[in-house]
Amino acid sequence: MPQGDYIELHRRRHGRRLDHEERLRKREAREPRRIAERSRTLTGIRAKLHNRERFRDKVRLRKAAAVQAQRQARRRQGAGGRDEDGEERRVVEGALPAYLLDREETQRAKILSNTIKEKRKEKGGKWSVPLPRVRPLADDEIFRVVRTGKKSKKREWKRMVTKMSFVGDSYTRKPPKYERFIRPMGLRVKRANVTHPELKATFSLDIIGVKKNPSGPMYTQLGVVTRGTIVEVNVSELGLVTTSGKVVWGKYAQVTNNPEVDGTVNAVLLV
Amino acid sequence: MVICKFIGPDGVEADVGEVNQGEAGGGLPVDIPREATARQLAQVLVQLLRQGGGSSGRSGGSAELEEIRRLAGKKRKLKEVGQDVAGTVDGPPGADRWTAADESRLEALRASYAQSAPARRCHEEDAQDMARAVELLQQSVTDGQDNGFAAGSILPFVFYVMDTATEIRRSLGEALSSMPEAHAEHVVRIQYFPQARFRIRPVSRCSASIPGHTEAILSVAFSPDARLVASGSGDHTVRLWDPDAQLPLVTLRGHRNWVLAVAWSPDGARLASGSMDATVRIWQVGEALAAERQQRQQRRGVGDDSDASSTAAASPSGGYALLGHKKWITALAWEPYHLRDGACERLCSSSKDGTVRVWNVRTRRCERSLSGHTAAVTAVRWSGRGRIYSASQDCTILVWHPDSGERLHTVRVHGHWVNAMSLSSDYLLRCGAFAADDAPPTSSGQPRRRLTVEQARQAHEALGEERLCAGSDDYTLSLIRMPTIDDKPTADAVASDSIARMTGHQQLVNHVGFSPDGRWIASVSFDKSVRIWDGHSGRFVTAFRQHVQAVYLCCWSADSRLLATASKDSTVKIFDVPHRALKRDLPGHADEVYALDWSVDGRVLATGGKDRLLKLWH
Repeated sequence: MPQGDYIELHRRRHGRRLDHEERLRKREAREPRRIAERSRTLTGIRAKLHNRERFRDKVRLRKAAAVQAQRQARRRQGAGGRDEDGEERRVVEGALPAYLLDREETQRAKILSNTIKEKRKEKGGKWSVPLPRVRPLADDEIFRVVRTGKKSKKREWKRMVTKMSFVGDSYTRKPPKYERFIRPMGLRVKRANVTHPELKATFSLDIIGVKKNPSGPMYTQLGVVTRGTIVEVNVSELGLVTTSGKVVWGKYAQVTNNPEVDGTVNAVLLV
Repeated sequence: MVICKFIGPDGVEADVGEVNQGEAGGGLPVDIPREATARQLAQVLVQLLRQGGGSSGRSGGSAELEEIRRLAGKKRKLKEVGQDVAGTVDGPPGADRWTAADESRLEALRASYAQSAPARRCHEEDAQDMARAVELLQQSVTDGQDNGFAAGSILPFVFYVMDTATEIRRSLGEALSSMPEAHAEHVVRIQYFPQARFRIRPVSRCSASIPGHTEAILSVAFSPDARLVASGSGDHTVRLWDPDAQLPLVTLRGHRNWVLAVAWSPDGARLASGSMDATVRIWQVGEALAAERQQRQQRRGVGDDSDASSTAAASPSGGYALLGHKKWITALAWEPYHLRDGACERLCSSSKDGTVRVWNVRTRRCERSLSGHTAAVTAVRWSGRGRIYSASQDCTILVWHPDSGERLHTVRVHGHWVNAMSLSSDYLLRCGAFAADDAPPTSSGQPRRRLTVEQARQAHEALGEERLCAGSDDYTLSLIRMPTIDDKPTADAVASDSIARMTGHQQLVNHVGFSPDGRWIASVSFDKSVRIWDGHSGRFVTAFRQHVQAVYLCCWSADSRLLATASKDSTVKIFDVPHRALKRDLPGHADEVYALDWSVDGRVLATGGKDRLLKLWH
């Protein structure tokens, strides 16, 4: 085995052969012939491998072509369909009336174009979320066993939640003696920093409830907020409106950070 | 009995029945029983106004009245005989023929008479006339019958007790009940406002949402005869629609960028569109429609007609560009119909580049470039007195003379961008060559009455002095009496009595609009509120807070009772201004509503927005 990059080193010192480019060009020009010959002659497992390779290449090519075609079509459409004088036209989407033109910077951050996108999302399945897959959390990671009683070591039915949790305002504690799950005050959360994905703007919003914890329905019930959890947040401040002109106030958001590590809840609004 | 005094709509006292100048206040007080209804008050007022007219008739007024009576009598007689009076025939004016000349003369006389009547003064010797009026009133009160107005019809006036600003709805006594008891000599001041004799039905349903545009609709405008709608869009096209058939008619292509503004010429023959590509395009509407029709026919007959394609390719859509601006066009305004004898060939356009240009569309030339603003011009108006007003982001409003290009005045009242302007004559100028005070037709087949230039001028003069209202980014509005400053030489200071400032909005004011009768001003703001102000004094009247997002535009109905507003919250709302209430909520747009227009006859409301649909509301 070579112990150093001698070829690299040599090339750096002395450069390539003088006819390197020419040889390379010729080899590349021969490439299709070589492939053709191999596809003709190979048999057995080698043929199989070769064909799989060829198939992959072709798929890649087709995809690239599709992308290119789309790009060209968009350019053509943006030019208003007919471009008699061949002049290059700027494609500007999102037309604005004259009275909003000079306010673009301040306005754009607030614009929550709503219903069309909402509808599209409803059709396209409810749970196409920013974090489709998260690491499942085991019971012993979320709960710490709390031993109760003096005499026996067997009384191990109390659990303390080690993750952040949301507890609604209307929650009333059971008598502490019979409480199976302890949700520590220090790990409770009421507000989340929710980012609107299209606006790239972040708002601190009240959490209304925990809709789904991917680790299990029990955690959903307990209001455990971990990464990937869907929470409902109060968006009435943002002024989103439904088609019937009513103000939307509850909307779902997915938690994107590990709240128990960071101490805050960051989430992405599901628009 | 209460002693009352009638006061005109502009709040100036002694409009009617001035007995002598020496008396304080000047108005002639009239004894009116407490149980008098608004209807009876209107009768007294009409009587008073009529008497005022009769007394000054010595100086020609009564001759005018005589003439009107003579012509009207003739018309009635001919009608009884059975001659077709509506379809006037041209011919030599004779005793037994009803001609177009007669018709127009009658109209003109009536208009001028109606206009001059309120201004007439009552003289001392008319005291006995006044006594007769009071007599008549008492008679009508005791009889309980109203001789004058039909029971179901709308009164020509509304009445307000000036001190408490309460409307007299049922009876005078009821309106006065909130006032503290005054001594017997106390004179109650009653302000009257003329109101439209017809009522516009509030639109309540979306009768059509027509797709067609492939980008957001940025501007919508009804033609002055209410026959067509034009919409400018982000897809670089202008489309014409038929609001009655609810169908697209023509797509006008030619612009290279978003179409930001569309404006109809006062005679409805041309359409101007201003675009982001810094051009103004003029479209001959008749030609464009004819070309489209021809093309459609050819397309239908293409199976058997082989050379159809060659002729179809040759037909243009009839538009041409006016080049000159450096940046995008923000607003357009045509020269009013009654100036220049109804030629309708001049147009001014304001641009982001800080200039206002006056174009002649017949010669296709730029006649004047009015440069004086140091920042983008946001709004432009061509007033009925032949002045151009331009508002700009450099916080000023400039007054121009369009012929000489001279800057007549600079108004500096705002501390930030001036966003919008409205003239009290806006509605009239919009109606242009068509009658503004017609009742809305019941069916769509009826064309609007066309005016002669003289009639248009009279209608404009009858409005009185023009007032201009401007809304600004400094959260305030200003109301300026234009004639007081129009003709003064350029001076920076404006007399404070000619300007009222209206404060109250908590965000920038995006749009303002005078009601057609000039009585109200509506302002819409990004603070989600719509505010109504008194159009004469600028006093705050009421605020509507039903919108949940920034409000973009407002539009008045022809009878000045309803106000439509378009908002970012994707709804259009209709407000009933006299009753200070939300009348209709019109959801339906899927996204922000950018453009809105109520047809001049009040039948249809058209809106367009980010969701690319043109919606027609009936």
